[in-house]
Amino acid sequence: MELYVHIPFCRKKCAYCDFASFAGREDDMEAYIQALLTEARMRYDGQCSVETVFIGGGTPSVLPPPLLEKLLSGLREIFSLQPGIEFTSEANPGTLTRTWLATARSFGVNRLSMGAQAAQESLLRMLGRIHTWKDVVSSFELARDCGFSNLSLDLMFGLPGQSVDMWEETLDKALELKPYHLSCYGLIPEEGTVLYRKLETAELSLPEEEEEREMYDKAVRTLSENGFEQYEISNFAKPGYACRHNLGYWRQVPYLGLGVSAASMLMEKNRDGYERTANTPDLTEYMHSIRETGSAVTERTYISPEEARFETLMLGLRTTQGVSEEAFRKMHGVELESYRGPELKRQEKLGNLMHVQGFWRLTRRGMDIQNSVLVDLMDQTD
Amino acid sequence: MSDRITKIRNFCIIAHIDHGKSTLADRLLEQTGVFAKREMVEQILDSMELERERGITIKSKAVRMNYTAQDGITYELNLIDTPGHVDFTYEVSRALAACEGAILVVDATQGIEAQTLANCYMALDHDLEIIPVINKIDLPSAQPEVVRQDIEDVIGLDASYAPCISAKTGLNIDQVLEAVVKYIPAPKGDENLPLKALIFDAFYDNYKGAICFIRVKEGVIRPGMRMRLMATGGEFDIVEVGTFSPGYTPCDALYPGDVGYVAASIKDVRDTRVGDTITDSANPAAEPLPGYKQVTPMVFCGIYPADGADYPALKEALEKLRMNDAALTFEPETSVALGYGFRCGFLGLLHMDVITQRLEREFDLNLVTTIPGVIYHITRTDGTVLSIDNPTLMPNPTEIASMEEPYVDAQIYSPQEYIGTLMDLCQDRRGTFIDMQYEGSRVKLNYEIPLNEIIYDFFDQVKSRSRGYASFDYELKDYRKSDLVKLDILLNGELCDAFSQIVFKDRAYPRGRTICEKLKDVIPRQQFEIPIQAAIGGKIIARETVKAMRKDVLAKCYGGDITRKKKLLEKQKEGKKKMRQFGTVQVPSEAFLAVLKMDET
Repeated sequence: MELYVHIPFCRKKCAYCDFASFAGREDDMEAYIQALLTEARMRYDGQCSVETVFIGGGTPSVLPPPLLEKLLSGLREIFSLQPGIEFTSEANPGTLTRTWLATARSFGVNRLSMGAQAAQESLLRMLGRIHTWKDVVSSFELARDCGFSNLSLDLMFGLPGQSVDMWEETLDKALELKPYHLSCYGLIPEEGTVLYRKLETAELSLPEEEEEREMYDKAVRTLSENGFEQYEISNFAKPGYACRHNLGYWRQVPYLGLGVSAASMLMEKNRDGYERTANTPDLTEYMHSIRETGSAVTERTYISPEEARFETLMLGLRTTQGVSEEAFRKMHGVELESYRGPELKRQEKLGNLMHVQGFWRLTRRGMDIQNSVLVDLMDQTD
Repeated sequence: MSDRITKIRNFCIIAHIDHGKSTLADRLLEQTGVFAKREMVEQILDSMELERERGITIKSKAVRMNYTAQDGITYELNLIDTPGHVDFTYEVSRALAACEGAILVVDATQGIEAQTLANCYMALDHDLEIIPVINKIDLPSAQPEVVRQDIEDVIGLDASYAPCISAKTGLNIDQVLEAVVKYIPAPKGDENLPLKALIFDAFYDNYKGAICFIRVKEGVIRPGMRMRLMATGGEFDIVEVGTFSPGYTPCDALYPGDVGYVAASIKDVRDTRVGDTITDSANPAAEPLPGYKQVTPMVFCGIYPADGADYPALKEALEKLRMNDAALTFEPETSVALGYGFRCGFLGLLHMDVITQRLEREFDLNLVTTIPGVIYHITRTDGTVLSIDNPTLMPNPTEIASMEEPYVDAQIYSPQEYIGTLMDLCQDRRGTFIDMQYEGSRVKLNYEIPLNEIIYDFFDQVKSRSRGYASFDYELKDYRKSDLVKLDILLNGELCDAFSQIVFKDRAYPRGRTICEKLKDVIPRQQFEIPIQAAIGGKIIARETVKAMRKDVLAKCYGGDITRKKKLLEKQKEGKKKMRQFGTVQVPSEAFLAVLKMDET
């Protein structure tokens, strides 16, 4: 099982962010950590061992070190975390301190994922980031200094005002920092965000689709030239450093998500398929519900075995390895071929999929239009 | 009985679309106590939702009112409603044949309109007594005296006694009723002669079967009688006769001059043709009443369910509509592109529009309709002749010796200032100018135009070019030799038969180009590039390309995003389901509409 822990606090909300994250709620931090640990105790039955932990946000690095310590020691105890598991925390440049890093390290965090986004101050400002590229560099050095070597950076392309040259510069500067892992996300403007509004009112405008794809191509090529393997649509890693936690999502490994808005995917005890749940996105409601009932789940979706088959494709095809026929058979007791054989072959003919040594995977072209390939792979009869 | 007939008045109301026909009808019903003011649903006569919305009356109906006039006598007034569109000219003529008089409603602010004029002439042809009524005099812009003069100049009616009314406020409605009683002659007819009753409308009632609206001309009709329909030869036992006031009000018998209904457990409304004569099978009349015509559809199109699974539902819906609409025809057809559907025949474009909208609204069906067409006559090189109502049936050009297409006599009535642009329109639609007649300040244009040219948007064009003032009427004239070709559309190299159409040869190029351009705009980008081509025979005459989709991917998909991603895919799938699959290409329903509502300018 995988464990996800959501820390919803931020110094400032980024212009593109539609996650559950709140600025100015520092007073709630202590009660929130308390609630997280309560939720953990209530929901974890101690049955299966936790293989990866991911502390995401928000900005986990805004937690004061004593609260971080309380959280991490609580998690270690509740989940009997074993040494050697992948234990990631997100962190943001501009908020990282030596004490925070030391605390994280001492309680077993062994991987840091930092939001860097862009190397240009103008873009960082437009995105509403609170840091400069210099902060990224110094945070990286500080983290190394505190014993972290498995470092990842998040970068964004397809941004308003971003040129292909600017993106190249960002990639180059990121590579200079010698991270083990890079996530390169094409911007998706989400409704309700500041950025979305500005795009709607034409205060900002996105690069052309053609240019956006050029940036993506650039990332794929440059990173490969620099020894990175692309293992998912947006993720690149040095050999051996692919994020196991993230791979788990795409391989349908069950996960328990703690905290406000956190999603979980857990096997059903008495029936086939699994259930996906989500906690309330409201911070106050979350803490209240946990205190009162021990649960803050507000959304439950049962995924039937039939739907689970499609999800194997939907998630598995995000990875460059693709969907393993053998794994499919093991998980669903049916051949992938008999499930969607004709459509898979049709997509292969169209050049969107390839079939290589027991794996079905998207071609480079297929990756660009993954959604439309998936829609074709859905059950067309219902 | 012979005294009663002198107290009957049968009349209809003639008016331009929004000159207040329905409102006046309501006021008459109200004034004669058929409805209490409060109980009355606005505009009773236009009962179909669609009619109300479009402000037109599609099918005629009749209502009986009792009115005690100033002379102290109580009269029976039968108001027969008439449809107001060119597609239903024949129905109008039959309704008029059931009357002795007509109220001509003229808008005091707008004067006489073309459509009114056409119906008015038709009423005069039927020897009806016409009572002009000037409506909307409550409006500040009303010019009743100008309009009064207009009526005298344009139609040649004596309008000096025309009541000036406001149907909206109810002003002077009693004057209208008095005029009806005073000026419209009582019907004539001998009840001792063999039965002759004119069917001027029919509809299907779920409990009683097909109901005929009739006007008794001679003889008596009563329950228990075996009736014969003289045109179709059908015989039925009469179960019930009565009047509408406005609900069914059964009675013992209907006599000459009466307007009422007959129910005879008739299962199919097509047995009760408008214009047919009902007689007594035991004592039949020698001759039917004059004027019967079999209505034949002039415009054809394919109607397909957007979702193939709805085919049985569409069939059932068409069957239900046909029960009330003898002019609607349909037969199953299959299209490579659209699957199973029906080739449907209509009186005209409005009729087609009404039917498709009723299918969508009343039966909740999602439809795809193909380009409307007409019946073409083809002489093959081997001398055989065939008639086709579907472009896909057109033989190979090398097998065709000659083709003929239907022409209509078109009359356009318009104020003088729009004549130029209307003549341009007719010219542009391959019309042949016949003549032009000045009727007061109005002009009547006579053209011969291929029917095919007026079934798309001709009526809309007439309206927009004349800012709504002109209107037109047409009648099938004959078939003439013409240079016609079949224009095909290919999507990704595959023929899409649903877009095929027969067009005048010189039109093929511009039309092909326009269709390709329109399709390019409405077909969304797909996984691959899609060439859109227009072709005649094997020859490509126009081409456009829908570029391949460049990007359709979510950058991020972690635990919390999965449900959302799935919803997004479901939504995309729903969108795709609404589209039609043509070979490898998905085409949204709007594409058919876009091609249908084509404007080449």
